[in-house]
Amino acid sequence: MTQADKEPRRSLLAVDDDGAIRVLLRESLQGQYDILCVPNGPEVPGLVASRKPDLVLLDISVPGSEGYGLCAGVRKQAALQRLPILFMTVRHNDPGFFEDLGAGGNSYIRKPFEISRMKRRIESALKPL
Amino acid sequence: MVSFRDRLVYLLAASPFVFRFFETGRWPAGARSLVVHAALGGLIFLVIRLMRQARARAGVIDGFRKTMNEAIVHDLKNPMTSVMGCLSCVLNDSVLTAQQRKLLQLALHSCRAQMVLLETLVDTSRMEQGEMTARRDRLLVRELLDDILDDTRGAAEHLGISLQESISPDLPAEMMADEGLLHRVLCNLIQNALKYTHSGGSVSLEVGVEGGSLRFAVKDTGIGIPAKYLEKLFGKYYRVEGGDQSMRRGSGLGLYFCRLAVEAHGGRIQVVSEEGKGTKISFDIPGVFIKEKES
Repeated sequence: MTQADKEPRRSLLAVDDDGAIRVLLRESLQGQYDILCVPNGPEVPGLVASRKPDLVLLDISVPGSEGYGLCAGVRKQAALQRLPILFMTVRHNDPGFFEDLGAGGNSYIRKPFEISRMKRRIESALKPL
Repeated sequence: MVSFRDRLVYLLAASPFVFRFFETGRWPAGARSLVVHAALGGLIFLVIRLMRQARARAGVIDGFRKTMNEAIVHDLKNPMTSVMGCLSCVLNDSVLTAQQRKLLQLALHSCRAQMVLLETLVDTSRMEQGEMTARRDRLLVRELLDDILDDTRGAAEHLGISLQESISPDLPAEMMADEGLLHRVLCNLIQNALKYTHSGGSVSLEVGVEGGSLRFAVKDTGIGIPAKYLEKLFGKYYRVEGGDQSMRRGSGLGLYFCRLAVEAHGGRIQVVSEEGKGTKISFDIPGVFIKEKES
């Protein structure tokens, strides 16, 4: 058994309302990570609390969208304050976005992204602080 | 339009003079000048009201434009995420024939070009409207360069052009700049260089330290730019004549956007070119350092 086999696989939770993007993330990342992809909804905060993923990939696309509410809700829980959250967003160059990023995300990746870049971002986000 | 209330006010103000006129058949002394003054005052008041209403309408239109921009950007970029992501996933992880790989790379390259145009259009508009400025966020330099080379390597391979990097050994690990804008600028410059370079040529990305600034340059061995075009090269909608038809396509906004983005960082963009030999476009980003590169 190799060292890589001994190490537990890191777990990811991806939250995006776009079904095609959920399929893309699952198909491209399941070889390396245990990944669960879900649309945003009322059950998601409970999923985060129960599954305790190593990283959450969260779609933040529209101002005032549910993604922001989810992020704020997660950060309110003391046990999840250090949970890395990586925003996936089409918004990156408008003034309001970075204030919203300060609402709880650790970093972001712009849409559209290529899988190699997503993998680098995930590796970077999972590095111990 | 003048409201009923305002019309009533005007009528009441003029009424003593009107009653006097009907009573005596003559305007009261000084009344004529008072009526003229009142009329002028009313006219000025009306103009001010109309200007306020026009400004309010413009604000509504502007708000609508911003909302539509955000909605359009979201609805265009999300599907493109699936397309580009799936293409790159298949290219990275699948066993493909040479023809399959070539066709998929072509599709991915076309998607990238589409996104570059969309983002250039949106960002240029925002910068011109003063809605977008360069941020100073902490970013990892190596990660930025890897992303840029990742985004442009496929196009270079497809065109048979060698894409190289020349990175100074004293490059800092981190810098303070707007990652999104820098990424866009360098991808734009590299895509431009690829467009005007023949197969077999080379394009290189050079990054170095100069005084208190980071200096970036994109250098190619392409067709070069005649001297008469250099002065206006970074102007809006400006495109250089020369090369074949396939080389001249483009909106003419790419270099203009690059100039806006570099100047938003307090930097300056320059071009040096020789016809038949190649072009080098360079710019500096001042005040960016955080910590030294880890050895």
